[in-house]
Amino acid sequence: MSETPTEKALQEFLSEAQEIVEAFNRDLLALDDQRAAGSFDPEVINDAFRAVHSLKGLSGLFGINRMTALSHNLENLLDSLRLGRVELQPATLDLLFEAVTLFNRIVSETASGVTGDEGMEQVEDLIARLDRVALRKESANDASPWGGWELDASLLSVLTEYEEHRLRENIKSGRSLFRIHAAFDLMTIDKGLDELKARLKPLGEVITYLPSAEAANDQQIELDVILGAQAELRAVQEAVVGTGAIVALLPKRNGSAPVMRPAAPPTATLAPQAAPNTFAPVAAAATSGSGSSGSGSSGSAAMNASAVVGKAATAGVAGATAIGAARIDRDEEELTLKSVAQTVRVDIRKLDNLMNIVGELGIARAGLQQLLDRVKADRQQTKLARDLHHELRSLSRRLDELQAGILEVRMVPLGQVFDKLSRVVRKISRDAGKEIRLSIAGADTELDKLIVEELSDPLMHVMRNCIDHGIERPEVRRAAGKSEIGIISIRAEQRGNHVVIQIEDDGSGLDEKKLVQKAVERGILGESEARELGRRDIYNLIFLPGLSTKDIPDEMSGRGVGMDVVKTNIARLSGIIDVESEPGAGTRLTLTLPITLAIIQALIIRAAGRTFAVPLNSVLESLRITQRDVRTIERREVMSLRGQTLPLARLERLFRLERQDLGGVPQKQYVVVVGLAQHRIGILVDELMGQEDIVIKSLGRALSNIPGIAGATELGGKKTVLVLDVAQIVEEAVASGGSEAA
Amino acid sequence: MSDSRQRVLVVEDSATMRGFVTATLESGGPFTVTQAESGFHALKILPRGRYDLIITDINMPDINGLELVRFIRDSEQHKTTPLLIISTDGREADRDRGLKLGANGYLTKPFEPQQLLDIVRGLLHLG
Repeated sequence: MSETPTEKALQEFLSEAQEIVEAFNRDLLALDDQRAAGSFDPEVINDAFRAVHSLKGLSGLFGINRMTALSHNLENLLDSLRLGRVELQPATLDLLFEAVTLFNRIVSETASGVTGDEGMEQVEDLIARLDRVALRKESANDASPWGGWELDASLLSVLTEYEEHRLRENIKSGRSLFRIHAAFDLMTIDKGLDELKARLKPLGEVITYLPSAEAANDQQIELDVILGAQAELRAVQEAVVGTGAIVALLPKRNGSAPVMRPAAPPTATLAPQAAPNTFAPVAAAATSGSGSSGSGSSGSAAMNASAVVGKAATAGVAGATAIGAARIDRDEEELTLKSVAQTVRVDIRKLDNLMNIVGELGIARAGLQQLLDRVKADRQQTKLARDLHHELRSLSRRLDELQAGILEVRMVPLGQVFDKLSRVVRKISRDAGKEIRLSIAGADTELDKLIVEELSDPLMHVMRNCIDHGIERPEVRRAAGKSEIGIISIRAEQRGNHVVIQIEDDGSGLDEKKLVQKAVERGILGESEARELGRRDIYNLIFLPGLSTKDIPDEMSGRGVGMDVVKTNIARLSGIIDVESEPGAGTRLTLTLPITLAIIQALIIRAAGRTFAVPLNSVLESLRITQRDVRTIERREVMSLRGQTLPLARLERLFRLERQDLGGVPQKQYVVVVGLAQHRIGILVDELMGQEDIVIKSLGRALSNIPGIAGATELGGKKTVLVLDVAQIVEEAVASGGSEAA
Repeated sequence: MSDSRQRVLVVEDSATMRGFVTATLESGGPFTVTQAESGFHALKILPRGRYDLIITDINMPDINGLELVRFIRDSEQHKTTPLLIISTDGREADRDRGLKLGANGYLTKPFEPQQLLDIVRGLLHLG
């Protein structure tokens, strides 16, 4: 046992902390939504409380003092909120959202090695502000009796402080109290309970669950559910019909206070006296240095205390052993193993490694396929060829399943990013003085974990842009006959091997004239060039660095954070961006992203007598053309594609290759249209050879800097081909052709 | 089980905390730990198990630690099994209720591994 937590334990903690912070954020968003309705769901406040409560306990284990301090204060605040001692103010909610940001920062800084109290000032600052807004309510009510309800002490004694408060609140609001008695088979208790919960929830609030030990055996468990509901007994009975549960209205009586029957077993009297003053929190054991042989330096107070408490338990140990000796139970072992947590956390690099191995297997498979072709060619070996073919096919199928399985493990829902976006939108729109509703669809669409993480920055910038530049100020919207509340909608859906994310605002749309004017002013465009731009080319100007149509640079554009960052990020993920806009009605951005980057599909082509692989993610279409379709404008080859001018690139020119086949330029050619972020170009190729799944290998340091080459991959038969770096090729083509090539 | 290892049931909804308690006990003494990730989960395991010690968190969703303490104390099988509750500072009221219901001791989060081992050894009368 080590004193400092291991790296692995810390990693696990950090990912759990991150999950908790995300859940906390969701709770806050829910509360924010409920604010409009005027009343908060106590369960959500309690969930938020539990989140910071867990963070506090966990961060304390790892000595992350900033997180402990922050969560300690939030816990106190949320505890007061859930116990009704403090009212939730909008300002408080704002500060809680700030706390989410701060938690996230602490998590990521801890992950990168920041320790101790560094950055504590920010925490202290936030705590000080929290203290200022949290106004205490007079808590006169808690002494109030049980409103005439006869609640026996055995019920009251097992309620936590919070549950007791909820019980009082339910009584105060005039609800009736019901006791629902149900029996569950141990094997199916989870399902049974979920169903019971789902039926009771619409009626009111489940205050607590009381398991009954008397009726428990190794087959089933009986439970009492305490429900507070504004309902008649019959309604509750109807709600649980078919579950076998029995509903009773808790008795009411004329007197005020319930009879307090002692409910605790005999041992109880010992413990409270012994424990409270001896196991004082941390201080006693903060010195636990050596950890040697139990007694060490770990604080004598704790040792003494253990001894005292131990005495109380003497009888317990003996008793338990006696019972245990009587039954040695196999089933128990199985049950235990089965029911422990069903998930594992895995370092994504391990999955990368597995993916690589699958990639290698794919290459081996292609090699086998070629061997098979050779065997097939031998007439003497038809039987062998047939058997080999059969085996290879089943190997192939399993390999595909394996690959799909590993890919699936890497998938996470986009909702993870969308949750963060809601928070950002809320903050920015408030700062900007605009009211905005964010509507999200397709949050369960899944993408490779790495891609989802890389998406959060660009999506954040897109949101900023929608709010700062897209959605008009409320008075402007009113004047234009629109609702004052702006709407940004995000829709995600899977289409084949891609995920398409559309972000749409109902703002003013892009101002083409202004965009062009700005670009000319900045010297990005010549006057004559500007006149020739198509609509799409104009929209694409927004991706140029430092081009904002806002006349007064605001906080955001002042920082130079703009759509060029979005373009760069999306391009890095081999994504494609499309912009559409309607003046006065809004702007729509469509991001098309590959589902994964781990294994990619590639189009195998031949050009200049050599074979290349083009990542299919970037390929929009392939066309067959003749030499006559290619025109030369200003010494650049272009062709016309559905009315748009498409710049063309030749690989032999790009890589300065001699054409190997001397047959001259073939009459028939193909154009592979590739897109990256907002750009489109065509690559001229001689032959299309089909699609393959490939794993890109690095070329090693010596060759890693060849522009236009992303790496190499092996095809069947140990043939190595180069994989084109579409991003660089497009950029090269665009750069040499000026902005018109956009 | 005839060997001298002590069987401990840990009921805690945080995976990290569960892992911490388990690792501390299993590497720090003759303990074999069974984990339960919620009060319900514990209810499922308890009727079929024999434990020398039960450790439970208080603040858990649905079935809280107090309800579990009472369940354990009321059950024929576990009524004398030593019971340790893990609480957090600021939640003294809940902790005291747990002790009243028959828990034998408590530890306040956060705690050091040695603190946990000391109190567990004390409860089990190990040297």
